[in-house]
Formats: sequence, C-alpha cells, structure tokens
Amino acid sequence: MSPLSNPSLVPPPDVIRLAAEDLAAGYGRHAVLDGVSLDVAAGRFTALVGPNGSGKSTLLSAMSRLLAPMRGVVTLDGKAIHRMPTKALARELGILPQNPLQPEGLSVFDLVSRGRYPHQGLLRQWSDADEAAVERAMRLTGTLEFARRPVDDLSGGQRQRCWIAMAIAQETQTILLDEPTAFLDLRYQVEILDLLHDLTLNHGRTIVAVLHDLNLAVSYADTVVFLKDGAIRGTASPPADCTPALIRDVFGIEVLMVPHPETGGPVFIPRRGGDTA
Amino acid sequence: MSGARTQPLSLPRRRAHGRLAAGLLALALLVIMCAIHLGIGSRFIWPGTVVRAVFAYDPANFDHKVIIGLRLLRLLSGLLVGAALGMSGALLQLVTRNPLGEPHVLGLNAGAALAVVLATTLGLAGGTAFGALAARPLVAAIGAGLLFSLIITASSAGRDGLTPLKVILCGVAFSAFAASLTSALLILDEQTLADLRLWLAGDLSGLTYAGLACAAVPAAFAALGALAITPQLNALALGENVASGLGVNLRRTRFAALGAAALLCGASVSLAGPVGFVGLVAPHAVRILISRDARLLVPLSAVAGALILLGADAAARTLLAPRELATGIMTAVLGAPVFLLIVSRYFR
Repeated sequence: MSPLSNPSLVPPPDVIRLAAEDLAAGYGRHAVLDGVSLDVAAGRFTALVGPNGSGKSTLLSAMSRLLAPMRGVVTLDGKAIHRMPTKALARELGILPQNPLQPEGLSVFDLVSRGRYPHQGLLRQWSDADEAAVERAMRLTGTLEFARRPVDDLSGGQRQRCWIAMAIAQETQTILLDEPTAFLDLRYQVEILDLLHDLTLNHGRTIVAVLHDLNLAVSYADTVVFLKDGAIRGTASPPADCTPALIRDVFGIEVLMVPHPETGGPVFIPRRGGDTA
Repeated sequence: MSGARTQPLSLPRRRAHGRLAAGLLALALLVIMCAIHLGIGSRFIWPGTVVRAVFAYDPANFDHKVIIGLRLLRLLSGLLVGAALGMSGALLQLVTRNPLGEPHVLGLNAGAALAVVLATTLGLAGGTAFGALAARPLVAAIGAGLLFSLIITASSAGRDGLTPLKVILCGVAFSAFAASLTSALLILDEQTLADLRLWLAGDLSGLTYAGLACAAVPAAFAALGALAITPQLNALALGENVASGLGVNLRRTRFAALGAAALLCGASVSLAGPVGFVGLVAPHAVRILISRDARLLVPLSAVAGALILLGADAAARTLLAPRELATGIMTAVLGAPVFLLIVSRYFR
C-alpha cells in the first residue's frame, strides 16, 4: 500500500470535523497550551509533532475531553464537546491515551470488547452488532488470530494493535491517538501507520495522532501540525510544504531536505552537531 | 490453528460457558456449606435431617425445632454478612485499583464500628427498638463512608498523590485511631461495653430477625447498584483516561461504587461487628479461580464471601467446642497469611 493518499477517495478538504478555538489548557494552574486554534479536516490523517513538552499530548487531551480547557472551545461537527453527554461523545470520538493500564490476564477479545461500552446500556448488553464490530476491528488490525490470548503475553507491537482494535471497535468517526508508535521498533511503527492511513483512506475515519518521528509523520499524514511552547508554529498541508526553516524553528536543529527517491516527497536528515549550514 | 481461524469468536464464548459452570459450582458449594453450618452447634445434626427440617418441617421433631428456631437466623445473617463483605471488597479493589482493598484494611469497618458505638452511647442505635435497629446499618454505613473519605483525603496529600501503599498505611493509621476512640467511649460507658464486647470482636451473636431485615434492605439496594455499574468498573480497569474516552463518568462511577461499598460494609457491621479479611480473600479467590471480569467478579465475590464467612463461623464454633471463638478471629487467622502473600507479590 502506498503511503500517499489517493485523492479520489478522500472527502473534500473543506469539511472540518474537529476544531479547537483559542484553546488554553494545562494541569493545575499552569497553562501548557495558550490560545491554540486548529481545524482538523474530515477523513484525513493529521499528525501532531513537536519537541518534548511542546503541548502535543495536552492538545490531544483537551480535544478529546480528557482535560477540561481553561479557556476556549472544542467542537465536533459544530457541537461543543465539553457540553455533550459523555456517552454520546464516546460514540463519535475515540481516544487512545498513552500507556493505558494493562489488566493482568485480560484476553485480547475481552479488551477489544470493552471498546463497545458506549454502545451498551443497562438493559442493552452484548448484541450481534457488538460482536460484528469487535470482529471487524480485530480483522482490520490482524489481532483475530490471538483473540483468546492474554494481552500481557503479546509483544509490544501486537499489544498496541490490540489497543487500536479496541479504539476501532468503538466505531467512532474520529479517533485520536497519543503516540501510538512509541516504544515500538521500526517494523511495528510502519505497520501501525499503514493501519491508520488505511483507516482514513478506505474507511473514511478522521485520525489525529501525536507522532515523534518527523519523517514518518511527513510521509504518512495528510497534514502535519508543528507545536512548540504550547503554540502552533506551522501547519504543513500537504506535508510536502514542510521546510528546513520550519523544522529549525520548532526542533532547534539544522536539517537537510532531500527528495524521497520513490515518492519525491521531502525527507529530512539532521546535520551533525558541529555542521551548521 | 485452522479451526481457530474459521470460528475464532466462538471460542471466547465457550470460555464464558466455563465461567458460568464455575459460578454454578460455587453456588452449589454454598448450598452444601449452608447445610453443614445449620448442622453445627452444641449438638451436631446430620445434613439429611437439616434438609428435611427446611423442606418438610415437623414441629414435633426436636432437631427440626433447633434448626429452624435457633440456627436458621445465624445462617441467614452469616450469608448476608459474608456476601456483603465479599462484594464490598471487590468494589473497593476495583475502584481503588488496590489489591489490598478491603473494608477492614481501608478503615471502613473501624469507621462503621465507631459510628455504631457512638450512636449507642448517645442512645440512638442501641437496644432492640425497631427505629434503632433500622438506623444501625445506615449509621454504620455513614461511619464507614466518612472514615474512608478521610483516609482518601489524607493519602492524596503530597507530591506523588494517591499511591496504593499510602492508602493502606493511612487506612491502618486511621483504623487504629478510630478503634482507640471506640475503646475510650466504651471505657466511659460500662453498660455499652458489656453489650458490645463480643460484637466488637466480630461475631454472629445477639442476632434478631428484625435486625437482619433492617440490614438486608440497604444491602440489597447497594448490591443492585453495584451490579449495575460493573461495565463502568471494567472500563476503569483500563485506566482513567481510557475509561473517560469510552464515555464513563469517572466521578459518578467512583461515588456509586464507594457508596455501595460503604452500605454493604455498614449492613455487615450492624449484624456481626467488624469482621476482617473476608472482603480481601473472596475477590482474590474469584479472580484466581474464575474471572477478573467485573461483571462476574462482583456477584461471585458475594458468593465466595458467604462461603468463607460460613466456613469460618463453623470452624469458630467447632475447633474449641464446647467453647466458641468469635467469627472475626477465625477470618483473621485465615486472612492474615493471604494479606501477607498479596503484599509480598504486589509491593516488592
């Protein structure tokens, strides 16, 4: 599968699914984000990148209601998410936080099934629709073959795929992921990004992910948002618009930009410490 | 593995049948335990006679009269106390994500006992007047809830916030504090001390049907509430952020779970005084033998708790017969090693 989007299958770029307006958020009284505004296009893959402590995870938390904003508003299809009923929001917006807890001995099937929580009620427990959604999510993520095994028996990459399966089983139009490729070796990183790309391209989902690998973000995402010091420093859409100057500004390093030999897209190579341009 | 590939989702369901069978087996064990428990006393009565006494009562038969007239109340109270403690322990372990979560360790029992003694010395919940009996489980639940809130507040202080170890240490400290207040109250009031001495050790004695009914009503409401929030508790087991993302209202879920735990603990303390370790052992036994899924863990912890309490009560009354030990002493003998085992496993 080509990491580049097929334009004919993607919805027009002017449909905004998720939007943050003049958002300030943080922990305690300390505002990590101050006055951030961001529009996330429907059916696209948006990557958030930036140095440690730049506010990427805080932005993701505030946009998914894990964190109440100090100021500003987040809207999903025009509705303010902090005023929606929790379960109703969870049927439209899914969030996979970093380092979720791994209950001992929980089977993959049981974990993915818990993604169906927002679709269940006191009198409406497990249904055929739940079963079908779980099976679809597991098929898509390639986790069906170890459905019965405990999650804590699996490798890091398989485990991450199980958590993503849980988020997919939630059947939300929009999925937010905080560093879904952290601590994974390169092969699993590529696998997860292929999967996220497939979700936007072939399943019409809107994906927002915090990523730490700049080149992977540039080659997989439809839009790359650069954060630094709690503010957005630049947005590359398409990511080919990325410039070495923007990267120097955000990450404080000098990079060389070379064309990808197959796709022609930009690839950034950090210069060694002493070699200034 | 081709079989697993063609019908992969039927397999977890088959395991669900296995869990159902295990649950039914636990219930069957409980019925057997009930028959043995009814047989035990100053004069042992064989299970065959016990069953006939229950299902074909003959008022002319002396054994039947002993079972229905004297022993049935103790059995029913034991069932309620054990089930309430087991379920309360399961709720506390799930919601505090602490393997040592238990009404005794976390101070709920001590708070409940203090509240009951205080109300008794003030003349509010003592004696056998119906109003006092009806108030007792609720007074105990309020005491349990208040002391536990204090413990949570105290252990949340500090830079690293609420850690499992701090909750346990605060629980032990505040329990000791509440127990010494209880002792002080009792020293000042000798009449109450005489009435409550055995009760304070945790024992199924001095029971009445009115007291049982008054404890059963709040316990039943709490149990229904607890069963209703088991899907939320399952989501909470994946971490607070995942649970919020799935649409769980964290504050409401915690409040409901802790409220139910306090009511269940209050019901049990009002009948049998502070009985320890049943709430610790029962959920761990269910987890190891049957399932960690809250939807099964919560109800089956009630079954396991009843089994353990009846077993301990039977042992308390037979080991040194004709003398009787307090039920709570037996549960502590059983529970303390389990407590140490869990500590060595989780707090290395």
